[in-house]
Amino acid sequence: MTTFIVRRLLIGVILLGCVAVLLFVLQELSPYTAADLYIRPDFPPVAIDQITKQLGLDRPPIERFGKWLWAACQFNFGRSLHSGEPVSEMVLTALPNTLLLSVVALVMIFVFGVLVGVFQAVKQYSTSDVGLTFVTLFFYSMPSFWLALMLVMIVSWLAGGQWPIFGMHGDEIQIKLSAIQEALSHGRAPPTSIGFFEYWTDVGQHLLLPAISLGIPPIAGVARYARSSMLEVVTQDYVRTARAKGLSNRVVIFRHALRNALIPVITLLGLYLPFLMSGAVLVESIFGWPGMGRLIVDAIFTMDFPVVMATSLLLAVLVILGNLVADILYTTVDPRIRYG
Amino acid sequence: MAESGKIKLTWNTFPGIWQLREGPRLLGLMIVLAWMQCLYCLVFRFDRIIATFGMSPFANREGFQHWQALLTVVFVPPLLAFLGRKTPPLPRYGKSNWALVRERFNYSGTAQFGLCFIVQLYLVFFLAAYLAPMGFDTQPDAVMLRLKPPLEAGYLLGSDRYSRDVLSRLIYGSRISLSIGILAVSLSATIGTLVGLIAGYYGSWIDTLLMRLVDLLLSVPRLVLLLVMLALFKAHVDPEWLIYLIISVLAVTGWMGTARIVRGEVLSLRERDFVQAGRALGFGQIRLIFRHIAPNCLAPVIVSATLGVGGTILVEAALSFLGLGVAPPVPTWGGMVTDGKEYLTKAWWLTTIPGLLIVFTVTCFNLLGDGLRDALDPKVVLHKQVEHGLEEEAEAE
Amino acid sequence: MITPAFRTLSRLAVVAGIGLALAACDVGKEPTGGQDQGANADPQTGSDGNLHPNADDIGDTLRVGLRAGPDGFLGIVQNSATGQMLSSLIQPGLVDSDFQDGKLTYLPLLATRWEFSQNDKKLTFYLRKDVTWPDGHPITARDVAFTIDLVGDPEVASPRQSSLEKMDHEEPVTVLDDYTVRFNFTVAYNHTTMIANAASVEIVPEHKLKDVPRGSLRTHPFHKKQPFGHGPYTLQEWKPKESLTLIRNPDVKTEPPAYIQRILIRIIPEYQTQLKALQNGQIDLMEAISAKDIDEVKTWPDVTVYTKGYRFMDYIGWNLQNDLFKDRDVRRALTMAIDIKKMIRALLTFNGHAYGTQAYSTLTPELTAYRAKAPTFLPYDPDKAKRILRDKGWKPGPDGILMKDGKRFEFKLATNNENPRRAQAVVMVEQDLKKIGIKANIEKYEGVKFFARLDHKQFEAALAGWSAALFVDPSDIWATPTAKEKRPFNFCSYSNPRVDELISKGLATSDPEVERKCWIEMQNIIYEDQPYTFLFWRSESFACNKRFRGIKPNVLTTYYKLPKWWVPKAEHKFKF
Repeated sequence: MTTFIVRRLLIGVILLGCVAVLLFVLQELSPYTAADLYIRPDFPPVAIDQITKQLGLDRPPIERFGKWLWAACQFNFGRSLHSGEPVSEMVLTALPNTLLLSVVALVMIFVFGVLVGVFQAVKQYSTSDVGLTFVTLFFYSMPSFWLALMLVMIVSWLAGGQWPIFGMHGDEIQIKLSAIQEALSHGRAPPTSIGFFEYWTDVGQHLLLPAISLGIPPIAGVARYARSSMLEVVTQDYVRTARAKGLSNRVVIFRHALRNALIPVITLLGLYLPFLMSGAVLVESIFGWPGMGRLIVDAIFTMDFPVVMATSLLLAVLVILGNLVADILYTTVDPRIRYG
Repeated sequence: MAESGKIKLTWNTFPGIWQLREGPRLLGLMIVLAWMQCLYCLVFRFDRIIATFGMSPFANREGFQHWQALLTVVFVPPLLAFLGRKTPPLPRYGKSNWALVRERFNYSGTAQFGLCFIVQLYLVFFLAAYLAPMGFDTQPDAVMLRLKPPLEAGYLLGSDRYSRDVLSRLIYGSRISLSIGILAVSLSATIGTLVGLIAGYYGSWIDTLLMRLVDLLLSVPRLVLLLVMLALFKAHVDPEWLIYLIISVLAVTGWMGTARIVRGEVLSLRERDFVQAGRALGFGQIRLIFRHIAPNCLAPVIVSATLGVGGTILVEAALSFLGLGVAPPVPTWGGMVTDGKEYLTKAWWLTTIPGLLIVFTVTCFNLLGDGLRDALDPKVVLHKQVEHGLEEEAEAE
Repeated sequence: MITPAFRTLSRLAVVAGIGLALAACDVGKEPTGGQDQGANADPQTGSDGNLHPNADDIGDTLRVGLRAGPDGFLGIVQNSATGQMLSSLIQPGLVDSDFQDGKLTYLPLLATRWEFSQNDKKLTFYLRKDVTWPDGHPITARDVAFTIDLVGDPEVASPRQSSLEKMDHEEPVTVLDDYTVRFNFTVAYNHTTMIANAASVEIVPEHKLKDVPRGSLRTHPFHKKQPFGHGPYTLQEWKPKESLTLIRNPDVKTEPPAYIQRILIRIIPEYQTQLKALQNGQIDLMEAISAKDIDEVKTWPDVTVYTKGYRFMDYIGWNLQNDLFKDRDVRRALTMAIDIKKMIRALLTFNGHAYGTQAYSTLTPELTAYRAKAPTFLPYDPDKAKRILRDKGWKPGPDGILMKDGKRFEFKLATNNENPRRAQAVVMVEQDLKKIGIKANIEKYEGVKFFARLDHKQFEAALAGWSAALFVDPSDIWATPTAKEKRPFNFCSYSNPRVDELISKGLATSDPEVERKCWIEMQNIIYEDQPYTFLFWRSESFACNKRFRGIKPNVLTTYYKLPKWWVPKAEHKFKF
């Protein structure tokens, strides 16, 4: 097992290198550079050339890639070409926000998805099963950005504007934070304080809509998968044996069938996290959630080479790790499988 | 039904009615609805049909669309009549392979539903020039008729901020979404199958190399890879060729799943008797691969391709939403959702209706894909099949 | 046919249908109520009943919604309108500008007074002696000279470097003593131009930046994290792409301290979300409200709409190097074929209120002194246009498109694709031209590509826009390029010797009457020549929560005299 993991990690590192090369080549094929973003009607063209030199974009590509690679191995991902911030800082600020959103969505997906799927399987072909099949199919076929917009519309109408639809923190919290910070920087006692509960309720309110938009299509997907997996298990011999032995239906389902049915579903866990982080791209843009999704989109549109490389590599790392976790979980949960 | 020389005209002669009453019902509906579309064009749009003859099919987009519609209206009704003919029931034993698949497919009402409406959508695609009330960028009155709700001022589904008809834009938008879906998936399925065949058959270093390539492309989430490629290449490309860029990029990022599936199948098929026999008989490798192994791999490819069209339509909508889709004024469903975003509360129909249409289309492809999967996989035992089998056994006794 | 599934489905469909119908009915409803505290306070008076604010009213927070944040705070290198606004609040420059009675005037800020001398080629500023940097170091003339040095250095790549073109290249600035600094110009330009160029950039501290590598200024903390300033506000926190917090600085010297304690800027890229936030009271100030939404915003109880003057114009630029557009009469015919008034009605008029006016030149009509008395616009007369073209040899071809010597009157009309107003305008132009037999093929490019094409003159015709400066210097757009002066914004390759003469004369005179005559004649000549088809000026509107007093809409900026805005104590929404 350990050799297996180590081999996979090594291959993963090589893959990361290839991803970096791929992205770099793609960026080189574009006729535009980050300096072109400064072009505005009232920006003197001569300054564009100066900026190109300043950003080091006139050096040959191999040199630029080499420099970047060397720095990257020391975990220095340079500075954003657009805003000049250190990329590692940008990523470290955005990553926790996206992780928060993704993990909340992930928990929702698995809890509700499994519940719905198992319920459907137990009540197979009943009215609720058929109805839920259509409902899950409906939500599974839905673009997440459209769902987000519909939620915004519905919530604005229902809550009359009291429920936040943008950003991560409300005004009250932010202004309180600012006042506290200012007082502290001048050595005065803070005029107010923010309770733990208050802060997290605020974040939670802002988190709810993006998490729902992000989570509902996958819930439907997991429900369908869980349903078919559960159905497969329920027709197995050992379930029939358990029933024949006289065990109550509930015990049969929850103690025997469910665990085996969940095996393939659990292995999806590892695969969903990177999927969510990239799916967050659209949802974060709509809700203004300050996370990696927005970072990636902005960087791509502004041809911000260092940021694109760093974030794509991060995503690749997550995908590779996710696959590895899924495979490991698979062996742990299903003793019939062994990796040499 | 035909008596000597006289053909009785009953309801059954209308194509599809027979299926509606006796055979696979929703397929009958499919034929009937298709017929109704063609009839609508023939009756209510006769003026446009006449006008088509004055247009050259290759001069401009409009002429091309009109001639497409004309040819459809001419050739589809006979096709429907053929499909709607009364067929004798299938024998209990000795069904051919395809007949078996068709029968299993027909067990699933939902799969038929999917097929029925996919056919309708593609028919709308081809008949766009005749069916759409007005052109997709016609602005009857940008000042007085803008932002009208559905069913007002003659707009069936409302008008947008430039007074363009939402229904017409949806119809023309279907051409983009549906064609991108089918073309991208066909291309990616082809690439994936080829790669899978080669990797599976030849094995050793070719296999390792190709599978590592698959892993590489799968490491970066598809949407991110698409964004990077589109944002970078868009500048190279003239606006008219953008749709081909999008299709290519979608194909290049979507073939990996198919390749894996096909490779798996080929690995198991490679050792089977019929392949060994072919080798013994001296068949060339190419012939073996393409004429013997490939056809047996097709079933999962078809299923994943069908499901893939739905997924591709969703991805294309997301790209249009981000502004990386086909350029305006050509409408796409995702682009219409974006345009309507600004008027979310004031003109809800601009975002809601295109979104619902996307959901509906993707649902149909998913239903069709599920139905095909159940129909094509011989190991799956269908609920209805069991019921049917029990019925027949009861009958026989 | 009726199976259990079908029954469930139909029930679900009915429920969904009712739900959707209900939603559709009510979505258009306006929100009731607001967050109007202190509604009993008389809007004109302060907390103790007089018209002016006093020390008690210091406090509260102004929450602004912006589409994009700044790229930084250092005046010499920053490149965004937001950045400019913010850096003027954090690090004021030599002078303050004001626009009253149709004229741009300058007021003392860091400089207490200034003098022109030596045939008006020199401009001397006398600085205040009591202003210091946050670390206590005094602001001196050496800082001014250092700033100009940076602006002119190609390594810095400053967008402001063109302001040095009119100054002496060897020694643009001379430090006379610690608080006196002199700018040396090559020609005796008019006073407004001289001050505008000299004071175009906020001052930076020499003692802090003199050892910093010049090319890395864009990544320096002064630009990014902690601007080093002495103005009415200081930056407390900046979360890029998210929010920005400014705190009032009570120790400011150049002007009286501000009243509003805190400015919280939220970056909300979506226009519609911003509008919603304004409606729900989640932000107080929103800029650039679309003309189509103004009437609705006016009905909201807590918000006042202000309309600024004309700063932005749209035009069609004809590339004069192209054979089709070389002839002046042809260009005039093109303008006569386009129904500009209809465009204004369709694009800028809502509920009878016009938010635009027909444009005569690139000088904004806000500059009343330079407005031609009664500008005679070319009439909308497509028949006359057709006649003029026919006289020039353009006859309708077999497909209705005009032809001359076998060449069709067909060209590409380019515009940028992020702008819905221009998208619609370009369609209207195409349709108007089609009526007289001219084929315009619309091409839309993304912003960067579009401006690059304009810069490199790679276009046939372009529908673009300008944002007008409030001091007049038409040389970059209308003067003939020379070896030394490239005229980067003369995209159309326009050249008229009389116009060049007028521009040099107008820039070099300090007699307002002579200047006025120059600009008026210049505008008339340019309108005769029609290198552009001038379309329209449009006004911008912004909305702010009613509790803020002291807002006077001014064409200069939305945040005109922001330090003078205040909220009566009884109406403070945020107590900290």
